[in-house]
Amino acid sequence: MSHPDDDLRRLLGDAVDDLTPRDRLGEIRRRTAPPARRRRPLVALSAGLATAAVVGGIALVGGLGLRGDDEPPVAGAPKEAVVGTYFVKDALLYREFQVVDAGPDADRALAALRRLEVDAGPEDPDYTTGWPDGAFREVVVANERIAVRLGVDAVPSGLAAQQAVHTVQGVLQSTAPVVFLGAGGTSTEHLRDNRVVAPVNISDPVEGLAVGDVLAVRGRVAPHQPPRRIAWQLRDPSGRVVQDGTTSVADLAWSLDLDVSGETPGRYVVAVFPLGRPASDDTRTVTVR
Amino acid sequence: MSDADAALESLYVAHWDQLVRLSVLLVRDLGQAEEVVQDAFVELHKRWALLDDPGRAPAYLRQTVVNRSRSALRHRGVVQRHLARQHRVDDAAPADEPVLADSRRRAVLDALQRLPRRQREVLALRYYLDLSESEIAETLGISRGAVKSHASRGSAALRPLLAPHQKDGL
Repeated sequence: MSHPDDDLRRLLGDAVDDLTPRDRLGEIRRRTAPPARRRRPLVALSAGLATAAVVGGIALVGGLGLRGDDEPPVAGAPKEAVVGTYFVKDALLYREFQVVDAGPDADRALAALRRLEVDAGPEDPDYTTGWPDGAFREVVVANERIAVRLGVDAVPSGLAAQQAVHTVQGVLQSTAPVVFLGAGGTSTEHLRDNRVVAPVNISDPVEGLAVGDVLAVRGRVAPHQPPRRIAWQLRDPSGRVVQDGTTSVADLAWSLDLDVSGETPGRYVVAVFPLGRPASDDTRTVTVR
Repeated sequence: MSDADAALESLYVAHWDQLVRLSVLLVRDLGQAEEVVQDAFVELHKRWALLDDPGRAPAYLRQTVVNRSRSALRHRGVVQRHLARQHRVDDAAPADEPVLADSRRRAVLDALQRLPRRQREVLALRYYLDLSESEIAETLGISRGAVKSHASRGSAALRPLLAPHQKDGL
């Protein structure tokens, strides 16, 4: 019997190995040709530059005309914003921070919602999402409602609606009802349901962080029946608990500073959960250097 | 011919086909994959003088192809949404549909498209390009632990979807 990895290797290879890409070397050569080969006629100069062109016309064409398809300066690039996106694990919502382009509220809200689409999805492999690719088209705030125009006919079942409600309300800092406008003309209104938020959620670190001496862990508890203390564990690559303890919650937030300087380098899992309820945990994988 | 031109031609001969096929696994469209990889070659040429080590050029190309494939998918989503608004019905088959008509190929590419983006990228780099965990981690800018998790979840998700085709005599 063949090894499962070999099956996958063969499967992906079979899917594309007999495709014959068209030859594009000529096109690449044309696009990377030295600018001197490209000719730009002097008449391209505007009338306003004509006087200057008498003296420096050739240099001007040589200097400006050659920028061609260069990319715009980096200084003009959009800045980024961090948004909280909500994903599903064990029938509860967990928040994960992601980076989107900065911009007006509605644009950031739409960008955050698009992170819920399966093609983008969570960084944490424990999380899943209920939204298909192309699900979100537009976010409009009007008449004390948040309208979300969908690219699909209806809101997917399960926690998908609450994923989107928590995400869009978080970005817009509003708890206004969310109206989903389906592509097929349907319209459904959803209110925020705090009961589906995970009791404990890790905000920081992000999945996969590499740390040296101290691992700082921060997070929140759900506003609905918040636990007053939470328990935490640090598990080594074999799954053995190498450190554990509890910490108190203040203003729905908690934080830990774990000394990992004595741990053997490797991949560790930090888990937090309400005291006495280890099944309702949130975890992050970190690498100790 | 400059150093960059010569290097680009050698890289083209060695990697063009494989990088286009990698991009097909990510974007499921041969024409778009060719665009993505062509742009990656042009970008490499522009930045050739900034490369510390020309030996890293294949890794740079690979990373650019993955990043540009991701952007292409997102752009395609925007375009599709726009078209849907304009016409409601857009049933025209993509230009390369005949090329992708083979049912097994479609099943594999469709299954990959249903996976979360990270899982799809990790699987393509691991099982198509045969990269090591650390090479994948570097290409995607994630930890080796995350590579492991995405690979294990991705392959678990893929196996049942592809099982009928494996039984076809693979």
